[in-house]
Amino acid sequence: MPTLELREVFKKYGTVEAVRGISLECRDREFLVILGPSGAGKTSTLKMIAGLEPLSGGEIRIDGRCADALPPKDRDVAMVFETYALYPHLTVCQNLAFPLRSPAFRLPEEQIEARVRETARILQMESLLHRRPAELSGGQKQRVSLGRALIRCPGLLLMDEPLSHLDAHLRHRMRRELKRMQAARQSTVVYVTHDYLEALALADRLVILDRGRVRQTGTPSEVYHSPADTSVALLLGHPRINLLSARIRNCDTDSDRLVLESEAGILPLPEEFRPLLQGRTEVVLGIRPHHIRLEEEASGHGWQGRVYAHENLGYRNLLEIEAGSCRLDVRCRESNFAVGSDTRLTFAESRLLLFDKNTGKNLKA
Amino acid sequence: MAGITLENLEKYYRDPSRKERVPAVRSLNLDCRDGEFLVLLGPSGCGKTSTLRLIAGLEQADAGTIRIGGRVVNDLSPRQRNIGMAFENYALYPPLTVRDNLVFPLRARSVPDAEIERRLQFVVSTLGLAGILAKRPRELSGGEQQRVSLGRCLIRDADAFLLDEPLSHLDSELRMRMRIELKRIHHRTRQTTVYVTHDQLEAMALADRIAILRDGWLQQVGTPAEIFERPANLFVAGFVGEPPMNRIEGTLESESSCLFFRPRGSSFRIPLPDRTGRDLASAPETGLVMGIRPNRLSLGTDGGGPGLATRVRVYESLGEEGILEAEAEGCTLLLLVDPDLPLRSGESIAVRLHTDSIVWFESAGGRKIFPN
Amino acid sequence: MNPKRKRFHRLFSGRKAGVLLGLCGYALFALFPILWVGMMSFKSHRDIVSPTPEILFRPTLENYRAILPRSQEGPHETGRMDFLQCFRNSLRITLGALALSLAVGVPAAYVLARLSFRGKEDIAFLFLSFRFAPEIAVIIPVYLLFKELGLYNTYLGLILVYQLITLPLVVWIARGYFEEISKEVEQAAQLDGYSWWGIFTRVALPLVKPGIASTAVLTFIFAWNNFVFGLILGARETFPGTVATLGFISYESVLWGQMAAATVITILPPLALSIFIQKHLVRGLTLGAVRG
Repeated sequence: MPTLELREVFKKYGTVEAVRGISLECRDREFLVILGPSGAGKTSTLKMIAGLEPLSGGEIRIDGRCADALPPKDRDVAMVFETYALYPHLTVCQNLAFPLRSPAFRLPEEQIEARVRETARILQMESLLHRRPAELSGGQKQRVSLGRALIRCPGLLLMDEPLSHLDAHLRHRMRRELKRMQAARQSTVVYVTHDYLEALALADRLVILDRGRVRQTGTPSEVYHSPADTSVALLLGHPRINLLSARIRNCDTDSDRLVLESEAGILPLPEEFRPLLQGRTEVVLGIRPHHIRLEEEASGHGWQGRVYAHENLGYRNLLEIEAGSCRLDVRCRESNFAVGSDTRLTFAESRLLLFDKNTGKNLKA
Repeated sequence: MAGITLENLEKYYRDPSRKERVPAVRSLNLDCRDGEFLVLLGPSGCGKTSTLRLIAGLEQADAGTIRIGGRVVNDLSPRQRNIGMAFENYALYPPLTVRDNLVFPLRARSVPDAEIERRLQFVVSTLGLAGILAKRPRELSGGEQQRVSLGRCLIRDADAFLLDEPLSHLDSELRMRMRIELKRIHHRTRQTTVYVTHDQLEAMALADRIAILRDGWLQQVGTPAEIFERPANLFVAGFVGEPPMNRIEGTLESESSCLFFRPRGSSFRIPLPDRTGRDLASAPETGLVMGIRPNRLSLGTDGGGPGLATRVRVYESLGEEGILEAEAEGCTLLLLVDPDLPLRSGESIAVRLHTDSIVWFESAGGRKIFPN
Repeated sequence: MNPKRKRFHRLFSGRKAGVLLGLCGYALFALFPILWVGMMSFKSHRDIVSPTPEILFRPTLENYRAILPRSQEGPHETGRMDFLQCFRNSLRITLGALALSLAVGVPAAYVLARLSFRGKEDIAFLFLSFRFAPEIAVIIPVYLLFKELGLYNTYLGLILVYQLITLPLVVWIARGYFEEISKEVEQAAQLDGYSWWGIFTRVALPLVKPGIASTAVLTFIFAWNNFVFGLILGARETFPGTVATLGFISYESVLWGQMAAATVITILPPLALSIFIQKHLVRGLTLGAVRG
């Protein structure tokens, strides 16, 4: 039985439809990540699950029961807010104890103290207990807000972009810390983010949301390697996937090799693509930047290109290559290409993605 | 065009709540050569924006001299310094069209019309603004606004350009595009540019040289490669590069003419190549920090380099790459590895060190010892 | 040039000096009546009525002595009222009105800031509209009403009518403070298991406490300075301090000096509070709630 189930959930703000019929399931103790660009309806969905926003349509079931009539405090739900939403007038200690002192819990003071101490120990903030939120750094606030959610051992933990306000290093470190805690966790988690790295790193399962609709659900690897359509493919990966429109040659005659004519060059395809392309004349070709290899020798198969821009970022190099009438992003570990030099682009054919020209759907999926 | 030289520059702000002077820039000596793209990099509060505002003349220096093209400008107003500046929040004039926004600084200096037209053409073609000249700022996307703001800065025949986090409001994809465009524009125009950012990727991508600041003090100046491969101290090592450089504190031990590094509090030792002894001749035996980049560690025991028995703590498969956090007796290592590896948390795994790329620091003070 | 000289130069560079001079002039103009009254309160009657106004005079405390308690057995023959009594009336009425306004207005402000219901803006506007008509326009009907209800010349009556001044202020300013609290902080409390009353008392109220304090001070000043309500709806027993100053005018003479002394004393509480409010107008307490 799923711990959480959304059935055709709608949300309207005035005439604006923020969420347009989302259905999803979250199993017991699963870490579900909702990934989407801003305005996709992620936060609205989360707030509806928490009971902070009423639904405009559909149903939310928690532990198999319809939750529509339940106020937030009766849903056994805790939430970590993007802005942390700490109580500014209370110390860290009082912030942590606040949920336990509520009418819903009303624990005796000794127990509260023990729980606060335990939570502070796990999150390594024992020394901060007597500070107020204004005296904390961003990372510390984030920790307190996580602690306040975890201290109640909620059945369902909701997290709304909890890392987005941290600086880059801290964000990456906290992401690994969250991942480590995941192993010992007690709760089912729904985690909202627009950062594909967080989504890939943390999720057991991933839900891709775009303009109020679910685009794809699957494990991180499924979603990354076989995206349902171009919008999902564009959402995961930096730089973004290269999308080229291409014409198909020799698809219906069995005699010759199957060939794609793209704006960047001609690409022979292996035979297994033939059934996918049957009856089509045009497709969109998707190549991830790190699946392109740059060769120095000018002769050989592949596309001819010229380096338009080159950035050495330390661990990785980002290049823009002019090939034919378009520019392709390339990402690689090591590269010595100077701007303006010629190069040859080759690809691992098994990594290529093909999308429908009109609907953007992945042809392989 | 002209270079910019800062000598013993100091700036203090008054903190009204504590009635004391808070230092923002401390005896800064820095040189931006003619035509150079210099990036001031550091965390918030490091003094980078203060430095930029001092150069622009928006703040008065408390001590030291600022020279632009050899001329001391300390007592000149921002107008007299002949500098173009683009701000974080674009600062476009909302009621004016893009065209009027662009020529505004020229009209303010009563430049003749023909000259205005000539420079406008140059900027429009350089930045690709032809399609939006008649629009107003609020009709533009973030990237377009940014281009106009840069254009307004470029159109002046300024001695130098100062850019204050111009890309920070753009999403990561657009930021990368603009980075590339900025670099290309600089290649073409070779304008002296001082660029402020907290984003180390921007600094790596754009800079001819990077100057890293912390708490008002200059930490290191160098090309991106120098900063990345040979950080001057532990702060720089931790600040530049994500994931940051691994920093392991420990001591050197020698046994029958072989040299070892023992991380603090662990029972294992890492064998070091012989020449390390010469490299570290001047270093203290205790209180060393070994710095090694996550991409200079690899999995498996084959090939050269000493191996280390570790356990997987966290493995993140991030699409284009993987990050592994491995643990060996309380010492944690980050590795940059391939994505989609079948690694489970708790699993034992061997890690190999590329000892050529080790950077040594002294743990007291954090200064780099080797390579120098 | 050393830095000190430089700063001096910057401060007194032509334009700034001009602006400074203008501001000083305006301050003098605005404060002149108060200065004059202050000076007058220390003058003897002869100095006051002398045809050539004296800047230099011999100060005397005679006027203060005349209106303060030790002169209780002193001259009541002018028929003027007991100034100290009026001062106490002022305190009673103003503090009473303030307490009532806070008790009613702060929860009302919270509801207007946070809950959404039909006609919310209309109600908020209704509160504001209390301030639209000049007091003098409503005073006659209110007078008749009070006579009828037995509220005329009672503290309760005055406290009630003072709500016209205090309630809109409290509601509108406090509403602003409540709206400044991050919604998510309250939502967090909701998830933490609190009812709306719990959220109001344990989260919202503590957060706007500094705001409420400065609102209270501002409201106190407005109420204290009122003149018309006390004059028409009060009588000898309930006259506030502002009205008491009128008592120094009689058929035979005007006791300018004592009137000035009374005025100075009446000004003191709001003056002290104004200085206090300046220091404590801290709106920053809620800032710690968001990212930093």
